[in-house]
Amino acid sequence: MSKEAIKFEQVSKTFPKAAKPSVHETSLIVPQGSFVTILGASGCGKTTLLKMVNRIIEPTTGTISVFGKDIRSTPVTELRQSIGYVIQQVGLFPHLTIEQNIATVPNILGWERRKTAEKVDYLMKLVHLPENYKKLYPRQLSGGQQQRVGIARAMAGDPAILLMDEPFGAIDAITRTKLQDDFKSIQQELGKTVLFVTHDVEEAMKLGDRMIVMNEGTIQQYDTPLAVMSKPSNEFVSTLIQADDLFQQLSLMRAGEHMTALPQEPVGADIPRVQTGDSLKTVLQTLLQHNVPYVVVENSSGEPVGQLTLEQLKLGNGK
Amino acid sequence: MNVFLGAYDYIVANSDRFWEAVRVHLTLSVYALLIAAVICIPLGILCAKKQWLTGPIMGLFNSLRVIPSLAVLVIILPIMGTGFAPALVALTLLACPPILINTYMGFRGIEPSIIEAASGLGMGPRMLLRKIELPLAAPLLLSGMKTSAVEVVASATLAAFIGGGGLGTFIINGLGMYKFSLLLVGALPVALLAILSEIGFAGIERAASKYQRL
Repeated sequence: MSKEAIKFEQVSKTFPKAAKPSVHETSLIVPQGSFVTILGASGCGKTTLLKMVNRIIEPTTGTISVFGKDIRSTPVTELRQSIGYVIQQVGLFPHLTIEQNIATVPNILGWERRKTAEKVDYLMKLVHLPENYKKLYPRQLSGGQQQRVGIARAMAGDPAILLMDEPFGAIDAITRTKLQDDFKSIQQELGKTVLFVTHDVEEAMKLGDRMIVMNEGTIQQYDTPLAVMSKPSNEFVSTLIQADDLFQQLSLMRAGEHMTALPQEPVGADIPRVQTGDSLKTVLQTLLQHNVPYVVVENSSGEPVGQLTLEQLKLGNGK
Repeated sequence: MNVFLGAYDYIVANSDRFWEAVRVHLTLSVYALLIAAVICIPLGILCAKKQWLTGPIMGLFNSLRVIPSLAVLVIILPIMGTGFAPALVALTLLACPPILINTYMGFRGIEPSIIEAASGLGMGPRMLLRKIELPLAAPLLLSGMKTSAVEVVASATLAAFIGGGGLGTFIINGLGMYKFSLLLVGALPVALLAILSEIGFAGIERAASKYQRL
């Protein structure tokens, strides 16, 4: 069983002078190494939930623990140094160079100059920033590049946990897709635990191993994106994620998991091929584009391993 | 040209008196500016952080600013008498508002997301102030210092009216004796000092905001 990275026990938050709680009593566990997205409309309490973890907001009741330790048991600055934090407005320090921005936490922690410099180099490579950007200032970078710096800065102290508050919310669609892909692979490579707030359904589904759907301060559902999509817990979740959207569902299923054995006769050269990792949405597109009865699924080394027909796609959804 | 030559001759002939006046003038100005900075920078920061303090403190210093500098000197006179000290108090009062207001504006002008990111990364309040807030507020803060410096250098002339000494002495004497060359012995160096302090602070201000222009 994986360790509990973040644990909420009966946590609630009511802001002073507010009529009702922003977050109702909530208990949940974020397992180590998982990517959990929090989805909801604005004002649903998702950001409040996130910001209680690094004590930007203090809970009214309940306990939050990080790796089994109550977050109130360490000084707040130390807690924050050990948790990465990325916000939508990025919040880079305009008077410091990219290099100095990334080195913020190592400098607070008093790392040796060499160790810090190596870390900065490593992180800039990791987030795909060219090395000659080191001496530039934030305003010389585009929005997408600035958020890459923001992510590198958040990871500089080697935190096991990253909290992200709509980090890609203010970035144009094309750049956002690239950032999502890059960040997801970084997270998988390094095994960081990520808690990620978003109001974008597609983003929540694409990035999260598991997702939390929130409404009016209460968790509506906490499950894998596919489970949320195929078995929404109530009307609200169903409406929010448009569970009846077939394309959305197909895009969450992999060809390799739904294919059947290849027919005996040799595969015709004119039959289009897809990868095992491709989504069923891609399969459907290929089927329609080429107007063929089936597509061949091949593995990463290019060998045919199965097939998928239009009929199977229909069955796959009927289950 | 005769008046200028006359002024030059006077300075050469009375170099001791001249340099002593320059020294007093500068001491008065620098002290006034330093005391004002020591009082008003922390006060400005406090105002920016505690909203409820802003109204009363800003109001007080803004109303002080409305009073002409000569009036301030005259009001101080019956309270503190004549000499260096009352002149210093009056000049300090004069130097306060621009520093206070600009410090306040400089700190209020910092984007909240920058502060949130900094504290979210684990900076304590003191480090936040030193590494983030002060450098970001510096351009405006220095521009306030510049305004104060020019104002103080110019107004230190009036200190002579209450026996505070300085270059104003020559001006008052020149006016009294209807002797323009003597008046210039005071006026020209004052103008020069004001211009120099303007240039000096503008230079520091530019250096502090270099990152905005790259």
